[in-house]
Amino acid sequence: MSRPPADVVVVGLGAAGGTAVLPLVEAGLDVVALDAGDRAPQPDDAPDELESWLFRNRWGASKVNRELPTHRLSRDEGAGPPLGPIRMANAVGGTAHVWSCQWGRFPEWSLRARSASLKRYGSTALPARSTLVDWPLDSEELEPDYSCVEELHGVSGMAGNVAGELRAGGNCFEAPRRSEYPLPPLRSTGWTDLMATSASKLGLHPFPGAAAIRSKPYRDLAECTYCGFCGGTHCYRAAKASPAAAGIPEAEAAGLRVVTRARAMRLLVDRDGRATGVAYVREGQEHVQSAAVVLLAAYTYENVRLLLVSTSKAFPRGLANNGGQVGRHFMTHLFTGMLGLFERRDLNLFSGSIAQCTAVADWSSDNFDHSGLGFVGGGMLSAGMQAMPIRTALSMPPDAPRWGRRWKRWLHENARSIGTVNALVEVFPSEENVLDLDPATRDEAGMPVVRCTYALDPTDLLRARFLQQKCREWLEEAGASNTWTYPPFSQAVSSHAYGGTRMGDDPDDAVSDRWGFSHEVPNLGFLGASLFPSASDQPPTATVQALALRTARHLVDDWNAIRG
Amino acid sequence: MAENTDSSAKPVDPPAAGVVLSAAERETLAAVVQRLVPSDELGPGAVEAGIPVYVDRCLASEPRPVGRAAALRRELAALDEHAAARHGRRFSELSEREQDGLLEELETIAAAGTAPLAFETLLELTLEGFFCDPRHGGNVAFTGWDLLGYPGVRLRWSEDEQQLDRPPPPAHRTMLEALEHERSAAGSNEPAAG
Repeated sequence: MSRPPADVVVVGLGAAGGTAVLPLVEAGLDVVALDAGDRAPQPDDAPDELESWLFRNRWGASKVNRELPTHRLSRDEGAGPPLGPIRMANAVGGTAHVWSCQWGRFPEWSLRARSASLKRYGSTALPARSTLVDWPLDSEELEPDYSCVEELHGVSGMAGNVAGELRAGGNCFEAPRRSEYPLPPLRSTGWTDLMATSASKLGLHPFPGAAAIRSKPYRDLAECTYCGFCGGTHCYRAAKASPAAAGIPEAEAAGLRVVTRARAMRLLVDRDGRATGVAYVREGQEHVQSAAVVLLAAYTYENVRLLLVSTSKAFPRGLANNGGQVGRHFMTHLFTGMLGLFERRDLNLFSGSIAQCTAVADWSSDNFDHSGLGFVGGGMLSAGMQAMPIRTALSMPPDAPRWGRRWKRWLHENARSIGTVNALVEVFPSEENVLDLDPATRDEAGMPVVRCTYALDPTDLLRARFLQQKCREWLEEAGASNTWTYPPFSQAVSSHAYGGTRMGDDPDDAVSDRWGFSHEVPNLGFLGASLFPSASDQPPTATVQALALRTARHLVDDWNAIRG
Repeated sequence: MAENTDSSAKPVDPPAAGVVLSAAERETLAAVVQRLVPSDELGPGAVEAGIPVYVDRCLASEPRPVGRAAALRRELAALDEHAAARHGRRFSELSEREQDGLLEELETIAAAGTAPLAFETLLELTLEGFFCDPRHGGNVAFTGWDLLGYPGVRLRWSEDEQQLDRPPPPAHRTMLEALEHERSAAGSNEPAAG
C-alpha cells in the first residue's frame, strides 16, 4: 500500500529524529515520521526500578529487545548473544524518555583528538589500529545548535565559559558558550556539597553537572521534584528534556504526520541510486512511504542494519555502502567508577537523579598531561544522587557477607552509607571494531540482526584504571573508609553506541558528509550517534540533538539541491 | 523477634500459585531463600517478604536473552542432589545448619568458577524480590525497604530532605500509591506532602 508522498520521511522519532522534525515543518516541508513504538507513556506506565533499570527494559519490549545485536570479540570467532537487553525505548520520543539526562557538550579537544594527540604526544600517541579522525566541524560551529536545543528543553546548569569569559562555579574547561544555561542547575544536596568541597580540597574544579531536566518550570513544561526515579525510568511528570515533551508536539501542531507502530524494513532507491522512500510494516501490512528526502534516525545499530539490508542494483553491498564504510569505526562507551563506605554517615541518596551531581572535568579529554601514561583521552567524573533499593543491595563491597543474618545486619547498618563516583570513559575507533549483518541470526521478522565485532583496546583499560584511581582519591578525601570497584564495563551492545555512518569530508573513510548526508546518496541523511567519529567522554544526547538540528537546518537551507 | 534456633527448620509454605516452577522446585526455592534472607531480630525473612512469589512470577516474564530460569532450576536441582547425597533428605527437610552448610559449599563452588552463574542468579533474584516495589509480589509489607532504610516512594523531596545524616521517615508507599497520592493532592489543589 502506498502512502501519499512526502517531502521528507524520518525513520525514528527519538532524540535525533524528534529534534529534527520541528525546523523542517516550520520551514513548510511536508514531513512524515515513522516510529516503531507507540505514544508514551501509556496511562498505566509507572516508573519502576525493576522493569527499567535492571535490564528488563520494558520500553524496548515491542522491538529492540527482539532484535538485539550479537557480539564477538574478534573476526575469528562466532558471535553470541549480548550480555542483556539494552536500555533503548521504542516510543515516540524514544530513549529520551528513560535516559539519565546528564547533559554535556563535547569538549573542543574531543572533536580534534587525532591531530591534537599527535601534535602534543608524538606519532605513537594513538594505538596502531586506531582509525580516529578529527571531526569535520569544531565546537564553535556546533555552539548555536547546542544553545538552541538547550533553550528548547530548558536545560539546567551553570556556565563556566561564556564567550571566553570564565565564570566561577561552572565548568572552567568547557568550550565557550554564547550564554548562560536557560535554567539554574538542579539543587545541590548534602552529598553533592560534600563531594564539591572534597574535590576543591584536592585542587580540582568541581561544578554542578548540567542536566537535561528542568530545575524550574519552563514555558509550560514541568520541573523536577527530585523523586528518585529518573535515569532508567521515564519521568512521572515529563520534567526531562525529551522531544516528546518539547519539539514533537509543536511539530505535530505545525503539520508533522506521525505514524506509530511503523517498523521500517527497507530503504528504497531508484535506478539512479537516489533514495525514494521507506518500506515499512504496520499491523502486519506492508506500506511504502515515498519522499523526496529520507532521514534515517533509528539509532546506531538500526541505522546500519537498514542500510545493509537495503541492497539494490545501484548498491549491491547495501545502501550508501559502495565505499564499504557502513558499519565501520564503531565504538561504545566504557563505564567505570568507585564505591565508598562512609561509616556511620547517612548519605541520604535515595532521592533525586543521577544527573543531580557534582562533576569534575579535570581528568576529561586533554585537560591534564598524558606524558608517560600510555593513553590519550579521559573521562568525566560525577557524584550524583538516585541510589535505588535493588541497586544499593547489589553495590556491597566484595568482603561483606553476601547472605544470611550477617548480610542483613551489614546492609541494615551500611546501606545508607555507600556513595558512588561514576566515570564515563572516552573511547576511540579502531580498525577491528565494526558492525555488519550476522549471517547466522535473524529476528522474528526474518531480518538478520546486527553483529558487533568489538573489543577494548589495552589503552582503554589503562585510561579506565587511571580514572578509577581518581575516583578513589576523591571518595577518600570525602571521608570514605573503604573503597571498592568493579571491572570497567563495556557492553558492545549498548545504549552508548557510536559510529557506523561516521561523518567526514573524505568519502573514502566516512559514510556521511559534514552535514549528515550520505556521500553516495545525496538525498539520504543520517541523524544520531552513528555519525560520531569519536565518542568523547560526554553522554551523547546533547550532541545527537545538536547535530540533528544542524542537519535539519542544512536541509532547509539547501532544499532544492538536496531533493534533486 | 525471638532468635532462631538451629534445631529443625520451620516448614515454610511454598507460594500458592506457581507459574514456571514445579511444586517441588517451589518448595526447595522457599527453603533456600529463607536461609539467604532469614527471619531474625531485624525483621521477617524471605517467605514472609514474598520472595518466592516474586521469583516465580519473574521467571515467567523474563525477557530474552537473560534466561535465568534455567540457571535457577539447575541450582535448585543441585541443592536437592547435594542434600540427598550428604544427608539422605531433600534440601527443605534439612536443619538450618545443614542448609547453610550446603549453601556455603555451592557458593564456594560457584566462586571457583565451575558453575559461576547459578548461585549468582539465585542471589540476584533474591535481592530483586526483597527490594522491589511490592507490586511485583516481593518486599511484602515493605520488609526489604525497611531493612535498607529506603523510605518508600515519595515523589517530592525538599532541599532539607536531601541533606546528610537526616534519614527520612518511612513512607511505606509503592509507586502506584505515590502516583495516586500525587493525583489526589493535585485534584484537591493542595501541595502533595510526599
